[in-house]
Amino acid sequence: MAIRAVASPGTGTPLQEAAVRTTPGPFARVRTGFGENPIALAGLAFLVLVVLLAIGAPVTGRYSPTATVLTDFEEPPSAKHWLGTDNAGRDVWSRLVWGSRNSLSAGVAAVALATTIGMLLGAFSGYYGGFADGLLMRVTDAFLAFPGIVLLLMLASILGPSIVNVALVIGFLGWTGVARLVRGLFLSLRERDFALAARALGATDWQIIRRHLLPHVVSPVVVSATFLVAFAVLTEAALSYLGLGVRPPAPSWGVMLADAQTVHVFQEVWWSWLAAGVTLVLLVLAVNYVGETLRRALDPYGDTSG
Amino acid sequence: MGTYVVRRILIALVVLVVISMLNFGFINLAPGDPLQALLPPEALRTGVGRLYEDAGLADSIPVRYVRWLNAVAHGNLGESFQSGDTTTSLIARTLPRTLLLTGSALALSIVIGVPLGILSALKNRSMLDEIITVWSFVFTSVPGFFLALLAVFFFAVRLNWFPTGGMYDYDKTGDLGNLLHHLILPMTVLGLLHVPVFVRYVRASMLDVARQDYIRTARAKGLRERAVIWRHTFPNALSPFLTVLGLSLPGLVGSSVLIEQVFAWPGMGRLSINAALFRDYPVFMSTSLLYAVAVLVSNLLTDLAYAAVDPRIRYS
Repeated sequence: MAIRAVASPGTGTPLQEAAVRTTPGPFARVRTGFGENPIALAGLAFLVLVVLLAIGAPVTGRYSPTATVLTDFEEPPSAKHWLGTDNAGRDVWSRLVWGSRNSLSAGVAAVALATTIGMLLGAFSGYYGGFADGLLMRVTDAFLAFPGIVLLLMLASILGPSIVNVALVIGFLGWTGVARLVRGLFLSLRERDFALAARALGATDWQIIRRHLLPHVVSPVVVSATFLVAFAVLTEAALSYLGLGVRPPAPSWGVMLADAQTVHVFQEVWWSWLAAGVTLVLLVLAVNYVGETLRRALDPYGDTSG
Repeated sequence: MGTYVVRRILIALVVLVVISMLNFGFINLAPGDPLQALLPPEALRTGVGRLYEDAGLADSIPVRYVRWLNAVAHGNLGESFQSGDTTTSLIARTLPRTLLLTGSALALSIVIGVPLGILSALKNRSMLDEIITVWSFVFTSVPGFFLALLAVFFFAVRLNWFPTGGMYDYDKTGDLGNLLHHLILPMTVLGLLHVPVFVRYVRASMLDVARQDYIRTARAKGLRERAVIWRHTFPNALSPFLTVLGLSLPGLVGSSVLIEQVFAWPGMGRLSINAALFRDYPVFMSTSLLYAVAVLVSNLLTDLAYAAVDPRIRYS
């Protein structure tokens, strides 16, 4: 190790480079994590594939997701319609690809919202403590204690079915985990020597939070946000399935699954809902595996329950 | 201990009132109302004022909330706008069905999950461990309603082993064998969804205890491996089991709502969703209140049971 460090050109002294080499940075650890785990790598590849298909939907979808072709009505999968057509004569592959746009964007928007709220409240609560902290903890307790799906159903039925509302509702429900995580880390970080040193040098609270404390919570928050994406995509599907999410005929995986509520479609045109369900499961599995790999690489002391 | 319990109950009551306020506000602010859901538009156009006054819907939301709270405090949960039945009788009818489904599913998930967790920990890093881990990973990733759909599709529609939904065949109401036949599929799906909770917990906990000094001591004094595992590791690994059980209940209740929906199981989850969709305020408020009470009580009992099992924990 040391010999290679000497031989390699670099900016630091050989000793420094050797030290750097023995403690690889976060990106290197993530790379090794994926290198050692073929399933996680496959998951990552699947995620990239789905995202590319979603971005290129006008091309990769092959047909319009809402156009009904009466001559190709309830066709089983064929070369013409890769995944067949549904009970309205729409191409299932096309709906799957276009639907991934709605499912993914609802998921990502919800997670962005949840993570932002969670980090802000968690940082504030953990840094300042006191009454606000106690209040926040009781609020998150109440959220944890409540069967989430019931609250979701309620909020979604109140706001009405739309993709923006789905993202809002999921984001509103998902922030508590991130808030608790950030708060817990801040409680101990604010007492660490570097934070005290920054304070002694006259840094303001905002500077300490932003420059010195927040960088320490980025890794665990990234990990928890990854798992949240899985939760959000699943929840979008559940809400749309119950008719409270994306509004048909716009495609989303949940909307496609909801077609299975018609007995005829459920029993005879099974390819139209099965495709969406299987893709959903694969996506969530992939996200969870990627998240698990990130967690092992970035947050070795993190909560194993995920 | 006594003061602790009293304080926890008081806090729980406050939380309950806040939850009920939010629920009441949300469901009443939702577009539509029970009369719109039930009556033809013409009826509403002609007799609007009278109908709303008769139904007690003419006042502002805060006024109606106080009236509702007062009635609940006197033990009156109101009547369903849809059927006219008292909410109490609706809950008395549907709650046992939900308890039957969730209770049997919980039992099944413990019976499967705990042994798998132990096995997974004992054979740590083996092929079997990997399989169990991947298996529980898959089951945490599958959306409950999709697993339910798959189960109905394969075992009810294709193989015709089980009925597709409901609780009894129309001519066999009250028949125990028929009930069990209807119960197996939803119970298994709900149970399987809950298995990973216990697998993960038992595995992590067993491995954690196995690292403790007293386990090394037990080995050092020459105890047989069986005694080390079953007398020293297992009981200690299970001591926080009640907490995990308690904390997992809201998740179980949450997925049972969707499972009831897919299997047309006439329980409280269906009652609650139906009430939310029809804006049946009294029924919706009562069922969601009952959910909240159940969760808060199970949280409290969990903490108390924890103290009873583990002598190191003392609440003051």
